[in-house]
Amino acid sequence: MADAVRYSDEELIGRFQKGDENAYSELVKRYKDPLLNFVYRYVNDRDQAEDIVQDTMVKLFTHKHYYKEIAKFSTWIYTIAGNLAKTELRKKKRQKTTHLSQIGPEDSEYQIPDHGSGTDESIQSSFVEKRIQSAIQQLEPHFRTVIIMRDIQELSYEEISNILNVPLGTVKSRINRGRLELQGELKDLR
Amino acid sequence: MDRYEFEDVISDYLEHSLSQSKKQEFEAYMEANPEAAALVESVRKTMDDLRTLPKVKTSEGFMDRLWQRVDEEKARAARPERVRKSGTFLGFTPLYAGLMAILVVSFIFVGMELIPNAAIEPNAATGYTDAPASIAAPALRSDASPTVLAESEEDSLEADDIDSDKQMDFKNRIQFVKDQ
Repeated sequence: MADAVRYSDEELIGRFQKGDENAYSELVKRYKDPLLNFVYRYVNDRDQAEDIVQDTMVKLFTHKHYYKEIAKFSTWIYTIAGNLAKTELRKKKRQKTTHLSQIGPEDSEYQIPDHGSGTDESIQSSFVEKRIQSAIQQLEPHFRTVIIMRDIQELSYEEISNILNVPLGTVKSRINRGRLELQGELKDLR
Repeated sequence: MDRYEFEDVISDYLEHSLSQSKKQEFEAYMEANPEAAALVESVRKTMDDLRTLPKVKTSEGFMDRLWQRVDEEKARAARPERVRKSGTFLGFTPLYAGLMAILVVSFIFVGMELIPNAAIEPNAATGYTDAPASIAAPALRSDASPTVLAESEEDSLEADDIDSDKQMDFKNRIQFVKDQ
């Protein structure tokens, strides 16, 4: 689909609902990385995050007719990914509770993508990223979700409110509280 | 503006969504409280850190794996739906099917016990269909023993005597107004 850039997300899903698989392919290309970024920051596991994004895209394929044009496509796809990520996190939590005795020191490490170069600057940057990722994980899930959506994914307050199905005021207040908590966790970095 | 109000609007201030009057109030509070100004700076730095986090990207094989899964889904959708799931009967597992069958049989049995037996003919004397003749009309029983009958008559006579004694007692005791 060479001229896919002309189509909005909503037009593409409309075409896909009519059977155009190229439109599906274009939607996947547009959203796979932003969704991976969102899910990875939420579940803190690169491979698991990729599996969740795959599941999201398969759901998009099998449940394409569930999308109604009353909502933005991005809102819908983030809702699916967010719900799958939450479910996965709950499963993980249960497994951790069940196999508490099997937890090794590697479980406390966070998987950060390897940037390769190994210079002082990159080591420092990797350390900062690790600390930030760790601080995000310390947040309560309802703060974590909104912080990732707003400050990492840069979604609007309205979009976040629609995705999470909570009032705008609640979203604003959670973002503010989340930022305050996060800066408390990262004080020693300053 | 107090500390709580100040903290509540830090994000609004940093995202430039405070009204002019609120903004002036906010900045006046920061000037008066250096630690509040430091807090705002720390939140601003945190927001910047989050925004500049490296973006992760999907692996190279992502699209291939996805299309493979999509093909599997298509194949699954094309397969005819099985009429009966293995190991179940009308949607019940063998255990629940067995329990259900026992319940249905018990229900039918109890129901039959409760329904009046239509085959019994109405009693000639009473007209009741189900009342045994011995209870409904003892005097008409052809096989009733005369001794038993006599005893019951004797009992009834004695009972009459007691009643008449009682009546006599009442006569002695009751006084009418004209008797006085």
